[in-house]
Amino acid sequence: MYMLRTTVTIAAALLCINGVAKGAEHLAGSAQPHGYEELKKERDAMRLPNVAWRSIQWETCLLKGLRASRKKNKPLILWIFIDLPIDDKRC
Amino acid sequence: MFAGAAREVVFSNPEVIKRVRKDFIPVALKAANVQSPPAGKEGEIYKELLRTRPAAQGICTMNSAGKVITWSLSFDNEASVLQYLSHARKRFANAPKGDLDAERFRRFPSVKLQDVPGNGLLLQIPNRHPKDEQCPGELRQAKGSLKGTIVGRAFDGKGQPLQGTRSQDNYVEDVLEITANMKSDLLQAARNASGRFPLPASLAREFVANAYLGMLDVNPLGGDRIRAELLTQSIEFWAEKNETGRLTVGGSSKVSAKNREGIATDAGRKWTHLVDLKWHGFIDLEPEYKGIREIILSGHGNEQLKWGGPGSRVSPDAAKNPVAHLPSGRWLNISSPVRYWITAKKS
Repeated sequence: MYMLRTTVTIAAALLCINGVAKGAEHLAGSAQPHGYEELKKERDAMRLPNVAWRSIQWETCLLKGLRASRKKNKPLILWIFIDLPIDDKRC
Repeated sequence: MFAGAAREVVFSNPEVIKRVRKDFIPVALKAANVQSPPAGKEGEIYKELLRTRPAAQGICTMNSAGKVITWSLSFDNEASVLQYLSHARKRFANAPKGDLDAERFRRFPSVKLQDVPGNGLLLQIPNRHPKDEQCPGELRQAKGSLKGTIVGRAFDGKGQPLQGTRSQDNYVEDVLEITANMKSDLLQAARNASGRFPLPASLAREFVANAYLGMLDVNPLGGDRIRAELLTQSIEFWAEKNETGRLTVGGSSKVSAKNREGIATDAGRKWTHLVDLKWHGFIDLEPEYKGIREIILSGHGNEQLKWGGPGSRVSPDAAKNPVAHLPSGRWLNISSPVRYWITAKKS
């Protein structure tokens, strides 16, 4: 009787773990390794070409900005933010 | 938080985008250059920003003479942003090329700070940098390094990517730098390996350090730079070469951190962040291990991020009116499946 109960408990636990693992796999995307081309296509599909913030072409040189300001008779709008060692997209 | 919040709720607003494109010259500057102005003529203009700024980060307008028109750190509401742009245009029309007092607002237009009077100095501003001078705003990539990009998405319970892509809580793009040393360590390890071998730790860390949702301030591996206390760091990547010179890469990473404590200036800053990922991908090498040709790598797993909350300096009202709370952002409480894709290609 004790062995039967232990077996049933282990089987239930395994079913439960399996279910959770499958659920997690579904939620986070496929856990199966993809091929080279498949990964590239997936990445291209997930990168949005038209996020709103990319609609503004920010200049990074004040001298160029001021030259354009004089030429077009428009004021500069400056966005001053913290930076990383390399040109950062995250902010 | 300021920059992430500004991009999400100010510079992603279609009306603001339209007005900025039509009526302004948009220039993004790094706060470090304002704090420590570089040498040269451009540095002189940075000094004007330093002289007048109300805070380290902010939004500001400037005339053609390099004189500040109006600073603002936040806005009463969305309509106030457009009002700010009109206000700046009006002040510009009165002094497009002359000296003027710098107006400053903590919140435009209701919370005004004291103006900083014009100093009467008008600079001779050149059209461009001299040939031997590097622009301080220019991309600085170390010699021999490879630039990579990362795209990250949060998913809902049905496995669909979340659509609120203005927000870095749901969608991120970033760049990473694979340095000459990382490349050299990888090539040497691949050359010497006969089977599966561990990926050099610095390269694996570079992948993991960029794979997180949210703004710069919540990087689990950000360390002192973002005032973080590291709680967990487990990073294991391996690679296996095949006959074509392609490496198959796999691995796992689990990193977590929180706001550091015990420093008075950090009071009210509350956050935690956990990123747990499994990795898979490929690295193409050049013949005879002479370089890296291309990288494609994917990480999938789960992420938990909390920013603000009771006892923090982040206002509970910020979610309703985020443009009024740009400096500290809004509360975040995210727990979701995530995926990241890293790519890098030799140009």
